[in-house]
Amino acid sequence: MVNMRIDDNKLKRAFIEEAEELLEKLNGALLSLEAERGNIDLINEVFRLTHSLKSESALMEFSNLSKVAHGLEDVFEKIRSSELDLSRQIMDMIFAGFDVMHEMLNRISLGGDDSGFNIDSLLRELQPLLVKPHSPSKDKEIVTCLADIEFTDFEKYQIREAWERGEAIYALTFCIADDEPMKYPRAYLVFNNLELIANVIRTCPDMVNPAAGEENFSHITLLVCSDKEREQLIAAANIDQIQDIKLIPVIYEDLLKAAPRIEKERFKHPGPSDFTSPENRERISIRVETRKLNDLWQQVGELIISKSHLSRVYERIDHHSDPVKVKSQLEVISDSLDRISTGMQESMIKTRMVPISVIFNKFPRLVRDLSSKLGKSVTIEIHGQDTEIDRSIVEALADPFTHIIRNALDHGIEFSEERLIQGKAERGKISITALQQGGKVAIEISDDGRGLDLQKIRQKAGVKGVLKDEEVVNFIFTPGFSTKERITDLSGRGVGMDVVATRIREELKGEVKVRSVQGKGTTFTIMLPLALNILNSLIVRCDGYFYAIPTQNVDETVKVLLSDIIVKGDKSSYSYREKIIPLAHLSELFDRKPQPGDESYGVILNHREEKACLLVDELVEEEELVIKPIDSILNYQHRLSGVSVLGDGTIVYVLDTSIVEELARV
Amino acid sequence: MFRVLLVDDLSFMRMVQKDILSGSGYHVVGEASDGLEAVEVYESLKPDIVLMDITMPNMNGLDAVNRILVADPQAKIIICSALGQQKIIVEAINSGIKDFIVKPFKAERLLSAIAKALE
Repeated sequence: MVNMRIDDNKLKRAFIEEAEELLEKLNGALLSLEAERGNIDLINEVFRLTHSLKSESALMEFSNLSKVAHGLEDVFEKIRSSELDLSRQIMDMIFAGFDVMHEMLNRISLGGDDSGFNIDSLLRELQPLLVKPHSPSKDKEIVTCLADIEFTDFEKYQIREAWERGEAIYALTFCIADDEPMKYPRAYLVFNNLELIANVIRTCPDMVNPAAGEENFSHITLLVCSDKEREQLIAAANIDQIQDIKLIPVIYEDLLKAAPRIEKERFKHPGPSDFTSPENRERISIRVETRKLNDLWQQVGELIISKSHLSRVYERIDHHSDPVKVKSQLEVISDSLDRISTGMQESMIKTRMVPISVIFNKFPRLVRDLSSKLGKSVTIEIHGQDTEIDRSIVEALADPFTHIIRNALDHGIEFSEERLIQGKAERGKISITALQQGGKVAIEISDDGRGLDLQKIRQKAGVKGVLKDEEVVNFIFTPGFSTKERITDLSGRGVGMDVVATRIREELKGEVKVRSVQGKGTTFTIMLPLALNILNSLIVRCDGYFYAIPTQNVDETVKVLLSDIIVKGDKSSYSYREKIIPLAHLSELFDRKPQPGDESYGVILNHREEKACLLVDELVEEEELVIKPIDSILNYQHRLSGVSVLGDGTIVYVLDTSIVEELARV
Repeated sequence: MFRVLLVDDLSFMRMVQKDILSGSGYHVVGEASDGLEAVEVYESLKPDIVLMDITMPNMNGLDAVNRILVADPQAKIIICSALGQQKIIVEAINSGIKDFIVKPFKAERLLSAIAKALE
């Protein structure tokens, strides 16, 4: 493989790309298969995909990845030849295998490799599937005694935990010799021996609280979870006077068939959802950036200080105390607690916020797959990925957005030839932008396709020429509305638009609008209210006031000398990276006279496609701020998009970065 | 050749046990007649296995088992008990004995219990 060295990276990249594609397809196929267990085509597809993954990763010498793929391939071979039934337990195991492969590929694409993963237990779990479970009826009888049992919540929990750890579950049965005078203690001895190396979930008959009557203990069944070898388990039971030891594998699903299913909604939605929904009480953990927890940590610290302050005041009170003085001391503490509790509340809400990239990340792939399927050439551009939204919204947004994009691809964007004829760029473009505006998040999804057919919409809506185009176009959100004759398998009949609207309006209490110019394109705008606006901001100071600029709008900060400023009449400009961009002092925006020194700090702002240089007195710090809306009366010339308060009580004014466009325009 | 310690307050019982064991290739290296003595002798002799009675003066078998296992968690002890002492046996199992035999016992019972325990 010496020659490979030269093209190693190239080859690796090609492998990663293809493997990612295979995994993506496999994901889709598995999800479909779960809904249609008997679909032969899907089974064959999955078999082919895992087979390809196995071969490719073996070629690249990623042996662990290959092993897992091989394990799955074997399972699907058995399913294909009807030797194995696609039960829920098996599906779960397959998904587990998929997860591991996905993780491995992630690692590989980040420059690592597929080592350091514990695949042994996974492979071992797949093994019993490949061995035909021996189920002569006698064994079934024995296991039935367990199946009829009602497990306690704690037992179900233990069983589930063991399964998640990758342990095998068995029914261990044995008999005690007839001539044994003390059957129960003997059974207990076996039980005890097993408990030393495994987890005995249940015993049959009950050994912990034994019913009277030695006869009961002639024949025993134990439900055991363990990752130990079969021989070890059997050896533990093999003491004097014990006969007919059998270790029968048990299928988790059969055992828990009475227990409520925990739906593993892994790949159906991109992000975790609301804390309080019933399904998610089962979820054990969520991911939170540590910096968000740091704030909370500090606040807890302050809380402790306030608490001890309170204790001191309380201890010092006696009949000599001056009530007025005590009252003022308590007032201080009360204010402090007020501030801290608000802060903690905000911190907690911050932990619920995730960047919208959680949803957006799926789109490039989506666009790629769909456009290739349709035979269209489309690119996607995404802005504002860092905009944060509440976790609970994430799930609800994925579908509407996906639908809008699919529509854009299916109906909006034209084929290359048509575009060229129209004088458009050969490749269609879909742009997605997210930004915070006041107390809302605005998300725009636009395409530069053929736009909505206003004629048809007017026709369908039965309106005459009275209504303006902008109003007519919103008819697409009414239920049952569709101007498409054909049903394409991608976006259906267009019935989706009303579902999209309902989702956004009812579920998310937001708003959705559409603008369209025939021949030019369509833009959907979705406005979502937020419980809290979190904005990662650059705080600057100017004329003694503090201002915050969203970091996603900040390209860079520079030192600007008086000599760097290009003045032409009453306009100033600045040369930034070989481009001349408008320059202004922050004071000017608020009609104050700037006091520029020989040098100031310049913030290179961007807003959509435009840039400008804003001069300030001082760069203070970068901070995650909770933005509160500002009343328009106080919002001078709408230069602000909100207000915030720092931990020490300082007020910070949040700049509306659309000022950049204004500056660029003149 | 495995070394055995016999503990029972009845010398006749120990004689019977010794007889059975010696005849099957076990070496009886010590005897004790109460729990206290059992703990001491175990310390000095460190046998491979102990046969322990329960009802004894000065210190009963159960306490002796606990003492020995605390000092030597790997100790292999088989309890010898009369019928009707199930609770005590269960307790002893929890303490960590390897097996138990019920009096009156058959020779083969004693031998197979010891053999299995020594595996």
